[in-house]
Amino acid sequence: MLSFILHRLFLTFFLLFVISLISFFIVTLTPGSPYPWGEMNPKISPELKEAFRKKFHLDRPLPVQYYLMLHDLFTGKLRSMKDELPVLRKILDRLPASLRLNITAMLFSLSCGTLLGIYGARHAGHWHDLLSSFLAFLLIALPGFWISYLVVIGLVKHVGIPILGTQSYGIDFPNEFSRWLDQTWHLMLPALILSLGALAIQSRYLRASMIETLREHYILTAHAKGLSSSAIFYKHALRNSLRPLITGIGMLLPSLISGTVIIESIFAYPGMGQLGYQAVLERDYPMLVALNFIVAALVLIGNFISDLLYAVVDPRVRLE
Amino acid sequence: MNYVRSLLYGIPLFLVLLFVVSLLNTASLTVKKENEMSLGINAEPVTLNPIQQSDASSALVTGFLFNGLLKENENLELVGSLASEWSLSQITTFYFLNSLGAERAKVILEKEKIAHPEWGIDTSLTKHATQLKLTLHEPGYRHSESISQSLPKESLLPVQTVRLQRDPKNSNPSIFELLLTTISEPYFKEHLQRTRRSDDCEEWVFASSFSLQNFLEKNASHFPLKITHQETHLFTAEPVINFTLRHDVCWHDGVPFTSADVAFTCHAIMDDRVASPLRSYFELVSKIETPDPWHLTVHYRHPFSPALNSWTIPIIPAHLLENKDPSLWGSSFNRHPVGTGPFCFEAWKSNEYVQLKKNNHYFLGAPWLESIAFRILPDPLTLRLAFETHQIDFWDAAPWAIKGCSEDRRFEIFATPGNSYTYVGWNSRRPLFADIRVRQALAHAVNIPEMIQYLLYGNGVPSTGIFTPRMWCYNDSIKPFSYNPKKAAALLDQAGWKIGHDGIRSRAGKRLSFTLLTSNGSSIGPDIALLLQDKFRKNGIEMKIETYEWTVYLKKLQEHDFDAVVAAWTLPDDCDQYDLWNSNQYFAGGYNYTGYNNPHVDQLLQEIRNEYRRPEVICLAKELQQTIYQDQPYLFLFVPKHTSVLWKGSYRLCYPTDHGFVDRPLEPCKAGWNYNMEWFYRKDYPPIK
Repeated sequence: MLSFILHRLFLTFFLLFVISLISFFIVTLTPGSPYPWGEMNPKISPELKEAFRKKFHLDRPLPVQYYLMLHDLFTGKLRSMKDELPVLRKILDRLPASLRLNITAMLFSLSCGTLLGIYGARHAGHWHDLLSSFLAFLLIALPGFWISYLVVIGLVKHVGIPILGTQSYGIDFPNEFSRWLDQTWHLMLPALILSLGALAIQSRYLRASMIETLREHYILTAHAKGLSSSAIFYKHALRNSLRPLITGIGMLLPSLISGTVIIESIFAYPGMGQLGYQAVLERDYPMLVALNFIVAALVLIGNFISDLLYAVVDPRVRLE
Repeated sequence: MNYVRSLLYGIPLFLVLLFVVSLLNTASLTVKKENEMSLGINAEPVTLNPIQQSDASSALVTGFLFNGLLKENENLELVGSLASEWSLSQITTFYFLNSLGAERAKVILEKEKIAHPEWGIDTSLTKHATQLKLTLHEPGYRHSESISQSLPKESLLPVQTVRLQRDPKNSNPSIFELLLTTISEPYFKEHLQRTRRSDDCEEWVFASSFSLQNFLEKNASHFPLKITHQETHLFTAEPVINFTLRHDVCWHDGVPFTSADVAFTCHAIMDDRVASPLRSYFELVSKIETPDPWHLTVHYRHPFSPALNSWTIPIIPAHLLENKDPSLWGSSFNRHPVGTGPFCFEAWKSNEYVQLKKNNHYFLGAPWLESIAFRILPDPLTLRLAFETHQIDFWDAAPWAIKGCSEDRRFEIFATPGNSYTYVGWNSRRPLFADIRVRQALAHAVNIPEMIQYLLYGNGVPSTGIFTPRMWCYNDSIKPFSYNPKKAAALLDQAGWKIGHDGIRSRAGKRLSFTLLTSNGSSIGPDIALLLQDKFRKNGIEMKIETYEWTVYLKKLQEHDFDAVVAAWTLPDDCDQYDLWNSNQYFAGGYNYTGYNNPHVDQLLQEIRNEYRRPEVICLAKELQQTIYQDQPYLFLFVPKHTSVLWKGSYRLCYPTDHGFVDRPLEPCKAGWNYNMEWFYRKDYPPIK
């Protein structure tokens, strides 16, 4: 077990290094320039461009730039080329809002997805199942931005309930609890819309693996032993159908901090998606490298955790 | 396993409950309508430091926070803001072979200046050894040239300005010291004056009859230097601006505003660590003097009239920024700016809003509004909804939405031509487009009003050249090329392009066919290309379309690898277009990328830069626009209108003038309907004067 963990840790660090190297070169070798004032501006002199390149080490060879960037990243000195704020500060600024949104979305998708999956598996073949499958496919197929627009138009224009931003603007809250509830409300709709796709996919996975488990002999044995059907269902069948869910959790970790560009921008929600998207458009190299690095680290950690969880849930898996 | 079950049902139930409760809570809250103006911006401001910003959102916010020494009035003329008075003059220096020559010239000029009052020679004529310095009332070369005509030729020395470039392969910085010690020419040594230094380029001014060119050629092995630019006059002309500053201005933190702040702002702009986009305006400043806190004198190296406009730039506080590393401004001053403007900075919530509060100690009087909020709403539809639900007060409508709004009686609409124009650039260095008849024929073949109707829903005006109608130097007497396919056909026939058997014109076996470059980064570029293709095809011209990603498209432009291209220019409010049209700006990465070359235009561009008198500049600019439009180096298409929508009667304007306050409804003017926005007031909060 310990040797497995050490081995995986070593591999994780090595992979992280390779990923950071590749992402650095992809980012810096992309056509386009990071100048904040645009390419076609006759008022910008060559001297100024040169001063800018010097300021951000762009005049140095690429390997040196890579070293300096990682060095600055680890010492916390890495600054965005756009506004010279430390990138870690910019990321941390957005992180709480992004985390809240994504955790709520995850709660929606995991809990409702599981329920829908169980419902489908329990009534497999029945019209209830057909209905839940139809609903799931509908949710997968409907584009999130379209639903968002409908919701925003409906609520803001026709009902007049504020949903933009993280809290209602221009309001004196009677108390802190009311403010908290208001912020929660601003979280609910984008989180719900964000979760729809994942929710539906989750339910399909669970339904399939549950139906398979229900056909196993030990379930038949349990029935023969006279166990109550809900005990069989929730204790024996559910636990053995959880594998797809765990893979899902491993994948969800990075999505906790990575944002979603479109939903965030429709709801004017200040999350990480906007930050990354703007950085790509502006070729803000330090920001992109830092974001890539952090997301890559989270993917690897997520994979690592879900590997460990497999062993916890499935006694047949041994970590050697 | 009951807990699994209760969790499975509990969490969704809890979420639904929370959803309902929070919805009810928010629905029960009431918005307090305050005396606040809300503006929607589609991107977060990058920085609130006005000398570092280059994006529209930041500029909008800092416009309320800072002031310049000068500002543009309603008709886009320069008037004082932080400066109560300003005056222009020029120091002209003549160099002589010896002291006697200078003395003789002085005596001559003492007499001549009475005979020629139009020269505007100030009383003081000062002689330093072999130099004669005079102060003229008006900057420029004109009067100095006439004065030099009256001086004795034999002792007057020519002044050469030379820009030297080091051989990049052999770049030894000490090379310039060597140059000085080995030259025996005494005057060269004496009057040598280094003016500018950057990494691979040095500019020198010296007075002598000595030819540096010959010297360098002879000694090429010792001095691997290349002359990139050389100018010779009979004098040096150094314009001077004198500013008198207002005494009653304070920064938002209460510290008085002085000339030291202005000097600091200029030095900060030139600082490499700041990398300010305003730098090109100040590269010609040789010296800034601050004799006392309320006076400021700025010296320039040579006449360059567009530099006057640069004094509208916002001034930043020296007492907060001096002696601080500019790379640390990002997290301090740039997020919590302190200015002199009508509003003070209050709060900035990342990607949600920026809030400003009124400045009760503003030097023109406190504004009527309590606060201004800039709400950051990146999505266009959300922005519109926010406007319709009164969350923001103004909305810049997209062309397709304007018709709906103008039919709605609740709204008021202000539409003015913007400061950008869309065009098709012809690569003049390709043989096909070198012929002016072909370029003019192409202009007659395109129906621009129809294009404006299709693409902008009528919200644009045909472009008649390099200036847009809102600019003060715009020539409104130019008639746009009419849509006239017959005339186009006649011009093409004249140029020898006859219709061939496949319906496409050809000349000497060559078909009239070219490729138009467009970028998918532009929303209307590809549509323009399709409309053009259709019209050209009907005139026997074959046009292929290639669409590229924005950066690749730019690269192709900069390397001049194209036949024709759809593009747009967004212009500042001055009329200096040297970089775009001078024939010497045709190089890889230069802005005259279509290779336009007209000696008359080159001369006009230079004269505009040398001329300080506004009426003369306007004359020159009108001629420039006319000449370029007739040449059709671009097919000038249209100037899109900038359209703002607001709730009818929601705001009025009450602003101070020299003769008291003027109270009037909002109306369009040359500087735009939102000029003087800091003096807007809400109907329900009338001003108390």
